Amino acid sequence: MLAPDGQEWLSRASRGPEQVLGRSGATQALNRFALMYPAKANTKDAFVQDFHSFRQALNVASADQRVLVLVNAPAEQEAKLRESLRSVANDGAVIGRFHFDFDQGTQWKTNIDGTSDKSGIVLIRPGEFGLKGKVLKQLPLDTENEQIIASMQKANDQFAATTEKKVYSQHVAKGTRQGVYFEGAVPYGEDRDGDGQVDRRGGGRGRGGFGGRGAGGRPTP
Amino acid sequence: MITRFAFTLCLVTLGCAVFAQGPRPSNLGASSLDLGESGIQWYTTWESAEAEAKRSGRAIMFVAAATQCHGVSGVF
Repeated sequence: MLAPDGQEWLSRASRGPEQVLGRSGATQALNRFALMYPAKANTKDAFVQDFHSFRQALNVASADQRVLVLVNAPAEQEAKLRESLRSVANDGAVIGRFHFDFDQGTQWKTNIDGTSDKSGIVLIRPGEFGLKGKVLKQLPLDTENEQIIASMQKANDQFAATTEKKVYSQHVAKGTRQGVYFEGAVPYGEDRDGDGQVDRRGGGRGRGGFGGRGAGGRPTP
Repeated sequence: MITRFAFTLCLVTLGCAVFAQGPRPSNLGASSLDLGESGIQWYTTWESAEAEAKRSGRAIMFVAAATQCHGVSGVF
């Protein structure tokens, strides 16, 4: 836990919520921090989320099993949209149900079905492994906020009704069998012993793991 | 409810798995959150999270996690 300045540590860091927030319950602990730092500005005006890349946004949306809202606008319109969409992203019917990404290029279309040539607000259903996606709805950039929210609700309902909930272990096993591999910026694996290094034995892909290729079965970047 | 009280950040570049020395990935099941229901509204870059924390004065719950496990994407 960090203070609003992003510098002061309010708790120690650890891998588990119990070690950070205590065993009395995460919600209770978070309430204490909320009382220490009450909001001094309207939370309805909170900034809209963004990602470093569309690739990562699609992957996160897939992992969280949420519809991805891509704002694909020319550079000169993006700042204005970041402002106007605050009330959309913080609407009670929307918050916590979607991920948002701003992307100006056309590269994002590479692995997405149903794209058009126009810019717009694009509601995307992420694929099972976050490597592909499908456009559920595309709205013009000047769409009224109420209409955006209504379209998002409809997309969310459609997504929830037609998507199977992931089971973590089964998902990873299936991905391993299919040869799914997501290239990342840091070495893969776990640091279960907390020494700051990826475990080479025990925490990696060892016997009985997913696919049994052995720890470090693929070269780390 | 947590979204009302905690300002959160998910940095999606580090490690694999998010729980303590508890269950291994092979033992993890499904999320308790139903599809389509509201969860945490994450900020997924440090810059945006820090800006919102300074704007709103709320504390930051910093979480480092990855959207892959053993290289398989589409999962936390």
